Amino acid sequence: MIVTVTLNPALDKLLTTDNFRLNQISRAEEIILEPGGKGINIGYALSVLGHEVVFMGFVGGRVGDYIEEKLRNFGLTTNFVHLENETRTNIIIVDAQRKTQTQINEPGPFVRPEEMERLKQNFARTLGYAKMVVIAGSLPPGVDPFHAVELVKMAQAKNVPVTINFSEGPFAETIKSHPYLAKPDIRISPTFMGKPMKFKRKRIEVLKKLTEEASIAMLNLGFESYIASRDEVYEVTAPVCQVASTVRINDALLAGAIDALLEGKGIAEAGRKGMATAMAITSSLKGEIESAKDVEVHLDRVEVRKIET
Amino acid sequence: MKLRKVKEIMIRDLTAVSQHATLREVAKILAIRRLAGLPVVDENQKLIGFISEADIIYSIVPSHAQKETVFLRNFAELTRKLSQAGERKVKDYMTANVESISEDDDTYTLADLMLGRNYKSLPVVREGRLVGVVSRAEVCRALMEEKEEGD
Repeated sequence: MIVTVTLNPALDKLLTTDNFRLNQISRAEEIILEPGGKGINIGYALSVLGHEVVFMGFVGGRVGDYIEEKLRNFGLTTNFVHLENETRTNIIIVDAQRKTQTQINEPGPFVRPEEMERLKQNFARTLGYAKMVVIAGSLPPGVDPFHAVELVKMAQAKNVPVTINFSEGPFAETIKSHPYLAKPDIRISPTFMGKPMKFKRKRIEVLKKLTEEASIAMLNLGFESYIASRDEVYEVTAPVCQVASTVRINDALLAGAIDALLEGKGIAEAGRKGMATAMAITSSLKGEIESAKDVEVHLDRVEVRKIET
Repeated sequence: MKLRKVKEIMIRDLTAVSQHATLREVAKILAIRRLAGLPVVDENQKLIGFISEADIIYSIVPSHAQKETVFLRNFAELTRKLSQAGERKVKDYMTANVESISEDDDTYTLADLMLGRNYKSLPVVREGRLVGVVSRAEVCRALMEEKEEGD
């Protein structure tokens, strides 16, 4: 069983519209409501790939109930702590004509100390059965990076490997605990660890640096992905493919890689599986995949290249 | 006709409390989740009991409450009793050795157990570990669907 912890889940409200402009009224054509938040997305992809996943974290209010119900309708196992405050909604505007995707994320509900405490207790109880813990996404108000560090250490104390996927602040704190797999979220900031991410050389430098702390590190900018261990670095790219929505690309890359690593594969194959999963997920507007077969068809099309450093 | 298994119809939710949790905490979870009771699990998620709304009410108003009516008339005294009750532990009020059903049992066995013992919901276990819950609503729906498939 894999445990995913989403401390700040969201209801992703995706609207499609043509010719989206600022300061103008637009009419939505398609409206899609899906549970979101990194841990949930990663867990969803892992479950399609055939893993038993327990979804943990915080949900609250009607939005929280909706997320939980949707996950259960998929036959997924939930173990959320329910908050007094309401879970956030993120708005994603997809303009197929202009080929733009605009996203606004809410900060999320305030989490009280006793609610964090309850999460830790629930988390401790599931560790005896977990073969991997994935802690991912932003932190809601009231939750500090040291709480995430505590969760990492609790899992490690029970010999459960940990995957972390945060933006720079919490990432910098948690990677010090030497997780098994680390992937920073670099979507919002153009720089990471003070280095501009638009230069490939800088990305490789960052990646090498991360493997000093984590056993395996991943990094991606859209369909340009990298995976590294202390000894090897691979660049993983996808051929030109049909993309409906890139909302869950980063999470799919990570889920595919975790799946391959749990099967005992090396990092090159993990990078490949990650990219194949991302290709399958992004071909659907909802970010859904039917079965592991939808991922397998892409495996041979992924390019994996070793980088000499 | 092949009957469906409990794991195909159960609600895969693991909301539960430890026996060391306080009644106040349980009451809060029950209110937020609109539930009538919660499974109690040990530190390895093994099912060890069940705590219900009735157990909590009993902790404040036990059946011998008449003897204490005098005290209860005093509002300050009642408030004190309530706040004390909130700090009491689940382990002293839960039903231990609670009935459960295995995720691999079939829906007929489940229905029989529920009706026979008048359970409204049951925890579902795998090797003693809590993996979900199942209520009469799920049993009802499952049995209706079994019938349709058999027609």
